[in-house]
Formats: sequence, structure tokens, C-alpha cells
Amino acid sequence: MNFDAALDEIRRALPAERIVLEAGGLAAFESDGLTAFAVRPRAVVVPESEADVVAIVTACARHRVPYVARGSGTSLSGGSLPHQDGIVIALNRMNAILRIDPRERIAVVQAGAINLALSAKAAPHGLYYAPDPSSQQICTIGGNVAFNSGGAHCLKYGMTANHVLGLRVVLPDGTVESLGGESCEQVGPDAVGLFVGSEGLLGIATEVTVRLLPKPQAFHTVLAGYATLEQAGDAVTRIVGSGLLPGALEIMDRLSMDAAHAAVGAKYPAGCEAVLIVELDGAGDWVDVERRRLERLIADSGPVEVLIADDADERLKIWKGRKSAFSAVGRLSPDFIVQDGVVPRTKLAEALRGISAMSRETGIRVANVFHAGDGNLHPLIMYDGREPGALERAEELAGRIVALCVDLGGSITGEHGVGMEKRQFLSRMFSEEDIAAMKRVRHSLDPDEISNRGKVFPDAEAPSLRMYGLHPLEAAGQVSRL
Amino acid sequence: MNPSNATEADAASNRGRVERPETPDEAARIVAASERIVVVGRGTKPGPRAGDPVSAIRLDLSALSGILEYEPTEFTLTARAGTPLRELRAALEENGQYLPFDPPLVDAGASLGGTLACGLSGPGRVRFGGARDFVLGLRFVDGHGTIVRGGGKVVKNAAGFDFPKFFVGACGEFGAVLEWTVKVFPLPPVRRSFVVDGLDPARAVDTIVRLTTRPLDLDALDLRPEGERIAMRIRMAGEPESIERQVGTIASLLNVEPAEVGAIAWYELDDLTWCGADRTLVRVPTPLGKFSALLAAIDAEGADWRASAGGQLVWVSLPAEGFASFGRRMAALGLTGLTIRPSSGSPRGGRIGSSIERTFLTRVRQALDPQGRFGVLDA
Repeated sequence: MNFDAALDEIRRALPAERIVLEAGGLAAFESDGLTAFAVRPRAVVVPESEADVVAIVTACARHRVPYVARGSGTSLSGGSLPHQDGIVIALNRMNAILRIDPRERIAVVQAGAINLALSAKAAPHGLYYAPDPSSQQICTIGGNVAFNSGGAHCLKYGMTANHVLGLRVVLPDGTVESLGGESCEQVGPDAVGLFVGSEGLLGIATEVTVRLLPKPQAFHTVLAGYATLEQAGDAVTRIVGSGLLPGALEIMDRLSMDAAHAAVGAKYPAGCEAVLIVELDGAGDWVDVERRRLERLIADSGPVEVLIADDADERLKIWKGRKSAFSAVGRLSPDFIVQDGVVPRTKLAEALRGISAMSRETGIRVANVFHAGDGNLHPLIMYDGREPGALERAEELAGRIVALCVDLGGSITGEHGVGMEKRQFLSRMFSEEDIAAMKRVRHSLDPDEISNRGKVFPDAEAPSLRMYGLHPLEAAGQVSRL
Repeated sequence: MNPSNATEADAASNRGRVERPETPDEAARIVAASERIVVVGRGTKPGPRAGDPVSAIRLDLSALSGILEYEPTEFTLTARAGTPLRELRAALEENGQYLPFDPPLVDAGASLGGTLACGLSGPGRVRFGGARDFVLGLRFVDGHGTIVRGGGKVVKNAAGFDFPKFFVGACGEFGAVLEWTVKVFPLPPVRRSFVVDGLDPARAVDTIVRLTTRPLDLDALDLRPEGERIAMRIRMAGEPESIERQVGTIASLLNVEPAEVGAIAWYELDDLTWCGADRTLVRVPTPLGKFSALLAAIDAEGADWRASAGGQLVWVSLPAEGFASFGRRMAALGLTGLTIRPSSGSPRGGRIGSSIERTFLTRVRQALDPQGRFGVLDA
């Protein structure tokens, strides 16, 4: 590796003000949404065009300098954690929404475009971009592509990969090419599908073509309180089993309700250990008919109280409480780890019992917020980082929860990705041969592992870490987690 | 592969064996021991691999058949690649569910593996998405003869590289998929079909735009030629009451009263029986913006067509002699097609039009199939 030679090349390609080397400037990039870790990179560079990205990557490739592409740094798995010998490529200035084509129902954006900005730009055409991670006010489409981000509406609408039609990518050797296209149908193999969710290991997407959907005409949002978590889980099974396909099916437990109440004043029915949020969406007529079926199903599931959003304001209030739940837990505990395991939907109750038993046994508080419709759990494991050994104990509990999810037939991650955080768990889900095949693909494109080195694979060379506090954006209430 | 690869001498002296493994391990051993493999399912779509050398060993997956796991409440189903879609449809319908990408050729005997290898979706893909959107996990034998698992068996999963999506449309390149896990959905309570006819291409595209930019419960949006004009089928799915009201919305949007038709009138689009044996059947994805230009290219070749997915997928029935010139026309439009069935006796197949093979795919091939056991399709 020859960092200085790479830097010289980059200096010839980019003006000095877009190359950050001083400690103060680098500090802002030390950490991402996985707040327990921080690493200072050697340099941060800020490209403004695909040509800039190619120049940077080519220099890194020639001199074997590791790089990490980064959007807004909201990864919850440490996916955009820098490498201590490497460069952070900050894509934030490449944030243009290049084209909205309402007739084709597609948009072409640069990687640094903000998720919610895209929907805002599409709104006048009656269209929107469906994937809605809780960080959508700040997270970038490029980051969503790298981690195949989800959100609250995945059961019906799918994840990021289901909405990306085409990509312009810079491969780790500096080659630029287009994958996919502009039609919803394509002739395969599905290279776009492989690239999305590869966590930056196969290259950098600079331009993304996504499909847009017609905005639902109507929503019907219900919040039902239950005496027990299990009852809320049973209600989910009933609803899904009935053939209804709600846009969202979310559960929050008592601790998360308390947190959301403390943080944003969200109100929940008294005497409930869990609330279920169900949202129907679509054409107005369809929602009208479905809501009657939903009402019957919920009434039969024995709720303590049912609140129905009467207008857009009340709907937004329900969602504000839900989407703020992660950062709100910061009110209950100085530090916490968010887990992202998935279990088969019918195993939800079993998983929750297991988690609550582990919490009792270890004395570590765990709040539960989850996408019940697709079995995606988000246990929030609380600890105090100033207390010696607390992080380690919390991580150990997190590991046991991940193991439980895999044992129940699920996954180690539903939407946050493997990143730094879950590398050691990948081999719980995949055999040596499975992982070897992924590595062969990676090495074929990136023999020196310069593109996001140290992530995803269990034995990957890890950047040296130190503990850190809450993400600055999160502490400021600008970022929340999902 | 070019037809010239399959010489008559090959055919006479060295016709490839057919191997029909009964277990995944057996399939892996066959791959490891063979220089050149062509993966075969149930034979309904010989087009993609029509140009492979006859000396290649046929890896027939029809014995690797059957549903392995089906959890209706989880919306997930795992089946071996050789499982006939008919069998899946029966099992799903018993539980009021279906494959939302609506695969064609079910009654012709198509297998799950062959359908996904060709990346085929049917008219119903308009509602929730195509084949790629419903694959969750797989097991495949790569070119090293190793069995690899990718994805998972739950409806949401972000762990590891997404091999399941990658293998949709791979046509037996890169490896032989032995097992798929797919996401399924509840069947809509009712479906009703309506026809609007007498459209010219510009008006047809305009009608598609009007319908697809609004939140209607569209289940299919197909087009076909009718004399000099185009007829459009609009299929709605959902609650009877809600469809009734939406038909009114559509009538006022389009300024015509759509005529209701039975499903049978459009059955041929699902089963592709309209394309004769002397014709080459090619599947051409296109953005809506190139739909009219593609129709002009089809006309210029004297070919017939049917369109699906709101004009974004065109099935072309091509006279045998038009294969090369149609390929050039598609390349000029920047489009790539896939041959599904060659015309009788012709070895012309594979992909046609604009090439999709570039650095990314080449590198992935070097990783998964460095010796090229599974071959490389044209284009």
C-alpha cells in the first residue's frame, strides 16, 4: 500500500478544498449509525462527478489503498465505518435528482440524493419512491442501494432491491459500467440484483434508476393496544392469515412506547403491554372495503383499546411515534445496540419469549420495536458505555439474540446489513462453501479488497476500533433508526 | 453459441449424454466431472440454450422435483428446481395463494427452475412485481462443482450477496440452481377483465400512462394487434365492490366504456400458443418510450407480437429467416431479447440484440464458473 502516492494522484484530479486531511475535518466521519465504534480515516475526499469517483478509485486501486464510500453515514451495522489506513469517499455532493420521468414511472438520481427528497420531487406527478427507512429524511439512495434498505412497508412493497432497475457503477478497478436498464422487465442474469445489498464490496454506485409508484389514494391506519405482546403477535397472524395484505404491520412493546412518549409525546392506550400499528393503503375504494374486514379481525383479537387515525395528521402522529422509537430509547439509556434479526412470522411469539427470558437472566433491559408483518425484530439492547464491561455484555446478549433468530429459521439481518457489526454471525447462517463463493465473487472484482475492506466476512481484517458515544446527528434528533 | 459450433460431425460422433441426477450431491458430482454442461428442466423453453454444442452433457433436473417446505402463513415456499409449476399452483390454490409474478406456460408443463432461469413473468406481474421480486433463497451447483446456498427462507433478509436475484434470468449460466425459495401472496378475491380496442400505438402508450400513474388495482395490462389497430386488456383484481367502482373511474379516465371479457379470450398470452412452431419466439423487455419503435421493427420483419406488463414486455413471433436482421434492429434500439423457443429445426437461440456481457458479468463468471462449464450465451 502506498497512501501518499494515491493521495498525490487524487490531488492532481480534485481541487484541494475537496480533500480533507486535518483531524478536525476527519473527526466528523469517524462513526456512522453504529455508535459504539469509531475509526479515523487518513483522508476524506468529496467527488462531484462520476469522473472524480473514477479518479479516486483508480488511484486507490493502483496503490492498494482501501476506501469506503459513504452517504449520510446512517448505517446501523457500521457499514460505512472508515478504514484506519484508508480514504472515505463522501458522495453527498453528488445528490442531484437527474430525471423524473412520470410516463415511464422512473427516476434517475445520483448516489448522494436523499431518499425523502426523491419522493418530494416525484409528488407533483402523483408518484413516490416506496422504500422508507426511518432515516429517510437524511439517508441517501446510494446507501440504500449498498445495504438493500427496508422500512415499514416491505411486506407489500419489498425492499430497495425491488425498486432499483438500473445502476451506473464504478468497479474497484475503476471500470465504469451500466447494469440493468429502464424497463421493469429485463434480460438477465440480474446483475443489479447482485450489486444491490453487496455493502460496497463490489464497487460504488454513482447513479441509480429507480421505479416510482403511484401514491396511494387512501390510507387507513389503526393503532390497537393489547394486554400482552403475545396477543399483539396473534393479531398479526390473524390479519396475515385472512388474506389481507396491509402496507405496514408494526409492533411496539411497553418500553418503546414509554420511550416514544418521552421523546415526541406519542400517546398510547393505558394498561397495554404492546401496540399493533396496521396500515392499509391503495386505491380509496379498495381501502374502504378492506378496512371493514380489518376492523372485524382486530375486534376478534381482544384488544384493550383501538384508535383509528381519522385524518392525515393523526396518521402522521402514529408514525412519528413509531419512527422515533429508536432514537427515543436514548432517553431511557445512554447507549444501546439495535439488532435486526428476522424470524418466520409464526415464530415471533417464541422469539419474543426467548428475548425476554435473556433480558431477565442478564438484567439487561431490551425494548422491542418490530416489523411484525415480515418477522423483522429490532430489539434495542440498553447499556451504559461508561460502565466497564457493559458494552461487552450487551454485545454478548445481542449475539445470543441473533443466534436465536437463526435457530428459529430466520436471518441475522433483515434490512441493516452485516457491515462491521454482524460479521462474526455470517457463518451461523451460511456454510464455509457459501461464504467462499461470495468471497470468490468479491475477489474477482476486487483482488486487493480495497472496496469497503473489513466488512461482511467473518475473518475480514477489521479496522481498529474504539468505543464512542451517540451519533452526533442522532443526538441532535436529526437521525432516527429503523 | 454460434450454430457453427454444433457441426454435423459433433452430432454423429459425440452427442452429449443426458444425466438425470436424483439428489443434489449427484448433480454436483456430475458437474465436477463434466467439461461442458447444459442445464435442462422440462423442455418447454429450448430457446436460450438452442445454440449449445450437441456434445455438451445435458443435466436434466426433472428428477429433482417436489415441494420441500411450504408455510402458507409465512408466505414462503421452497421447492426443487424441476418441480412443475402445475404442482405448485395446485398446492398454493388449496391455501388461497399464488405466485404473484404469474409465470406463463404452467399448463405446458414448465418447471419452477426453468421459469426462473429464463426470468419469466406473466401478465399478473403488473400488480406486485416480476420473478426477481419474489425469489428469497436458492441452492446451486457452481462451476467448481460445489453446492452453494444463497439468500434465506424468510420474507426479509439482507445477509450476504443476493445470489437468488442474480440467478433470475441467468439461463443456466454460472451454475445449476437445484432449489428455490419464493415468496407467495394471497389470491385476490376476484379478477375481472376488460377490453379497450381500436388504439394506435401512440394512443395505446398514452392509455397505459393514464392507467399506471394512478393507484388502481391493476392486475394485468396486456396488448395485442387487432388488424391495423391495437387492443388492450385491463385486468383488475380485488374486492368485487371496489373493482366495480374502479371500472367507473377507468371509464371516465379513458372516456370509453371498457367492455368486459372472459379470461379465456386472452388465454393465449399466458400460454404463448399463438406462436407457431415455424416461428422463433423472442421475449423483449423495453421501456415504454421505445414501445412504438419496437412495434415498427416488428412490423418491418413481418412478425407478430403480444405485449404484457403495460407495454414493457413484448413477445415476438419471428419468421425463422428474420432472426439476424431483427437482432440488428433491436441492437440499434439498445434492446436485448431472449429466445424462448427457436423455430422448428433451427439452432438460432440465446440472447439477441444489444450485448449485456460486460466487465461485471465476466468477473462474476470467473468467480463462479472459471472453466466455462455452463457456457456463455450470445449477446
